[in-house]
Amino acid sequence: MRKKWYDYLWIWSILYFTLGFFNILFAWLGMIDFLVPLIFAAVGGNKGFCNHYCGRGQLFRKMGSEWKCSRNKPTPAWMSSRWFRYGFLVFFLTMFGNMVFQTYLVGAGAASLKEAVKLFWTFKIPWDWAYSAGTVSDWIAQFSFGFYSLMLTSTLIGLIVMFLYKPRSWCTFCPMGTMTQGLCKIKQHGKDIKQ
Amino acid sequence: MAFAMEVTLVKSKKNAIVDKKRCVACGECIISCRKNAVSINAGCFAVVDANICVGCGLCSRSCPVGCITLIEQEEV
Repeated sequence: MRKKWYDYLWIWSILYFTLGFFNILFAWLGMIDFLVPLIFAAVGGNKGFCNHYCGRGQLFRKMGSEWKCSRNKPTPAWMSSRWFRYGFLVFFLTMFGNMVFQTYLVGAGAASLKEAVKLFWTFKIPWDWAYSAGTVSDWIAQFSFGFYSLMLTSTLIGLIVMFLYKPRSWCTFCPMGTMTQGLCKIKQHGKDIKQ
Repeated sequence: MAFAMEVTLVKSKKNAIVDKKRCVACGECIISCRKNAVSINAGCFAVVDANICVGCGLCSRSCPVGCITLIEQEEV
């Protein structure tokens, strides 16, 4: 099959983390990966993003299948079960909300900017080389650090499950995937009722 | 004799079927399928076109959920 332009979006995934390594403000570009899937689902009623345009899914596929970095063992059933998927989504959104709240605190002057990346919501890694204080408003920088942490953490989880199980095991409980599938199901349910 | 004739007319072949309830609609099966037999129904679950599917099992092996199984198709 001939490759299409969007078959190379895995490069975007690598580029995103590289750019954020040198300048944390590039983390804002991750909002594309956050909003586009939701627009696809809410407007088009499809998972076109997951199916064709998700750079992360493609990267896992590339590394896991083509570069043979996956053990290719079956994903544990609980990992794709409904309670785990929705549980992880709730957890992820809570952490996202917490990150937005931290941004608000910094913006309101109640907290100071922390130039660090937090991995797995626990481990603080100094990341001060990627930002010169005062370049932009503190809250813009704080959001960048927070969002980059979230993106890096989820990619690392994805890489771990890619190695342990199937290349795209992450997709079974990816919060974006759960949200978009949920939206599509609601939309489809509405259509079924109308008919 | 009638039985023997029936056997010669039946073509044995495997077909992939998707467990709709477990499918997360990630689309891995679309990419792995060489025959373009798989599509995602309105972002909800994958559907395999039985007329195109040759039962090679590529989708089943790559499915991260493991919700695609190959079944023996008695009649084509």
